[in-house]
Amino acid sequence: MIEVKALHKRFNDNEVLKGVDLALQPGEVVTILGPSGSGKTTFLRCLNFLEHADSGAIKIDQDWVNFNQATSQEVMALRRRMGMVFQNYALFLNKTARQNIMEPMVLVHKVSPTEAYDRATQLLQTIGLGAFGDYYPAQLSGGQQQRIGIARALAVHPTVLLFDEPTAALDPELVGEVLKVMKAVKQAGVAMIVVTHEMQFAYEVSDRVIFMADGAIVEQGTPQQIFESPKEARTKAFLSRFKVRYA
Amino acid sequence: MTNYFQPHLIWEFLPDVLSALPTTLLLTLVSTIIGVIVGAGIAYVRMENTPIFKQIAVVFTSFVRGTPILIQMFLVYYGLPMFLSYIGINADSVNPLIYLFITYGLNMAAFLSEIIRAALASVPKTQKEAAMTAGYTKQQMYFKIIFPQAIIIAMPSFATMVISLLQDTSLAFTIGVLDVVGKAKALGTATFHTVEAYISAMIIFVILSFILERTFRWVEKRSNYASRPMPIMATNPVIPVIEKPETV
Ligand SMILES: Nc1ncnc2c1ncn2[C@@H]1O[C@H](COP(=O)(O)OP(=O)(O)O)[C@@H](O)[C@H]1O
Ligand SMILES: [Mg+2]
Repeated sequence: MIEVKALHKRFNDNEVLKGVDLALQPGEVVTILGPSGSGKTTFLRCLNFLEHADSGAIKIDQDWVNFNQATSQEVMALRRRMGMVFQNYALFLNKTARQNIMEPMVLVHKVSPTEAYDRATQLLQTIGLGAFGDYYPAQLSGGQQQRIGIARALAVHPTVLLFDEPTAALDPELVGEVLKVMKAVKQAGVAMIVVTHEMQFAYEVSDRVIFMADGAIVEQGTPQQIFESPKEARTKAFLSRFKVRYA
Repeated sequence: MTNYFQPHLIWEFLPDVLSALPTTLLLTLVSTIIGVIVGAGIAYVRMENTPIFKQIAVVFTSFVRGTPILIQMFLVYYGLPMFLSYIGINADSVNPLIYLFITYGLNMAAFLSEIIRAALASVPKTQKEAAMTAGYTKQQMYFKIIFPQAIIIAMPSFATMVISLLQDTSLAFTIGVLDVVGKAKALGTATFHTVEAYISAMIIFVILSFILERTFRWVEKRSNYASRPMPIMATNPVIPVIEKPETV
């Protein structure tokens, strides 16, 4: 169970998040759509304390934590239950693919190195990179790096994974392999909050779609509701720019 | 007078000049260590914007970078004992090497601090964020992710600095320390074969610089993940093989 309550964030006079509420069931996949600058990235970054939110609270599995008075222990505890997948992969460039997956397990979650090695090997298989464990990020394609980024975040058994436009930096022919891995994450029962412009993915894979604009949730519902019969004018205008094949 | 150039003297002087090599090496090594430690400290206060310390660091580095090392050396050698005697400490019996360690160490620190700062800044910020979101402590983030990459980035400039420090130590003779150059100078004065003696010293410096350069390049190659050869090409399919059946 993941809950976020009344998240407010401003950069100087620019109020970027105007009180965002969100609750996810275990294993639920929520996609956030919205125009550029609407605060989607800031929202995700506030959740794992990469940005310091002004007010609001978050709860993952355990007690509520206030964004503006969290202790570093509380931040650490929350981060251990959350994974983040970045637009530009953000793999550790001085580590091999396998080490990227292993290290957070060993350092943060105190998994034994042999156990971590086995899990990393198994995850590499799952993402179709079983033979690439000893490659460094610089030796891999963007799609391969992003799949490793997902495996790294998934390896520690998080309650929820945050994705910030995970395929936006990829060449079109590499997008599919990453989306496929994301579907596998859903199969594994991990809750996901996905910011993306991949409408087909949002339509097919999400349990719920949220449309966000100007720092607030404008409309949310099942993919069918949002894509096939949006209620708000701004949602309609935004979606009219994309083509989605309805099932 | 037999003051003609006598090439064989170069070889005859070599063992004697070489006997001063430990001093030169010690000077280079200790100054480098001081330089790395103090330089890292300066880089840290400048990056963290620590008040007062930061201003001191800025003034210190521009002073060191903007004045000849010979002047810095005289300042430390003559100025420091004077200052110490003011506050009632007698520095007469201090080994002159100590002044050289201070001079060269601080000089290195000023230059290395800039190299360290640039190297740390060039590690992509997103990797820090990735480490933090993964739950790394700050210490883990620096020691596992940032430093290992920054060291590789800094290595070529660091090598250049150490090799030029080695040459700079040759000024040590001006305050009477018998390093390689000091020894050569003494031999030259005693035998009237100054040129031969200095050529001996030169040979030592050339060989030493060459060895240092080679060593650094070897270390660079060994430690640089980006320039490592690709592992044996994978035979597995590159297309993802998802374990569980897709229901979507
Ligand atoms: N570090 C920052 N400092 C100041 N303003 C920022 C910062 N990050 C984001 N913003 C502003 O916050 C708003 C929302 O940005 P962002 O969350 O990146 O939107 P999105 O991801 O939806 O495109 C934008 O107006 C952006 O200019
Ligand atoms: Mg964004």
